[in-house]
Amino acid sequence: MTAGAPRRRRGSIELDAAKCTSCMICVRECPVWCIELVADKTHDPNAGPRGRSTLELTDFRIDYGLCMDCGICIDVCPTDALAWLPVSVSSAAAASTLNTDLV
Amino acid sequence: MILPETTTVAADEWVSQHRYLRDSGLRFFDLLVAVDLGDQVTEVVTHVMSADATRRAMSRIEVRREERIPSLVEVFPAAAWHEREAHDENGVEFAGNGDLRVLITAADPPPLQRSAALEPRVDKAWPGLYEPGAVSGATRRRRPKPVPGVNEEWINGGRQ
Ligand code: SF4
Ligand code: SF4
Repeated sequence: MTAGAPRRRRGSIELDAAKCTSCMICVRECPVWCIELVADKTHDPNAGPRGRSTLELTDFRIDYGLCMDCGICIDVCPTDALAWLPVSVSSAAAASTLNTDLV
Repeated sequence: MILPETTTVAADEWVSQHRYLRDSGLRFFDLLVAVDLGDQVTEVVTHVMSADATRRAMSRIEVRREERIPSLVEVFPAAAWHEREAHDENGVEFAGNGDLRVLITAADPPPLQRSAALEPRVDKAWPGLYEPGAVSGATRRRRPKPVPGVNEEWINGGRQ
């Protein structure tokens, strides 16, 4: 937390990967298409009569070169896995380096 | 701040409505904004208030893409700049505003019209197409429904 910064300052976005269910809602609602998500599916055939599939989040990228800090992804997330982090993204010499993996 | 009710005004009363508001003491022209409502209709909203900000009024008008609305410059000279901005960003035509020169961008379509494709939408496919855990190349059971503002023809990358 940056000293003196308001608690909900729109600095950057924090992902709690343990809460994320890879539901894709934030990815689809983002107006500038700057979130990309990759999740692996593992199937355990011995769990229950038909087995059980679980998704494991491997990649959750926000391209801060495009993100406009609108907060829609945070609002729509059904599991509150996303939150504002009052730490700004540093400037960079090339926009491509702002594409950040949050997992 | 509590916003006042918004009055919907017909095109032929747009100027007289604002003259009435000005003459009843709402002499400060605060803003004019335009929003693309979709289906070729743009909404233009104004907010005027008294100098001590105790009284306010909002007016709105709907304009179809090929139509023009009368300019408010003869009533509020300050409207000139806002109309120029709405012309630049939303493509609204204001009849009687003689200075609608390009302000920031000369894009076609204007950038705040919903038909305008942002650059990432033209260059890449919609990230929402991805289905977590799907085997690559496998047939998708159902296609995710695009959210409002995502045009069908952009989904796979507009240039393809
Ligand atoms: S804050 Fe807005 S622009 Fe940024 S990732 Fe979230 S939805 Fe997209
Ligand atoms: S909306 Fe929330 S739970 Fe769903 S993919 Fe995004 S971060 Fe994960």
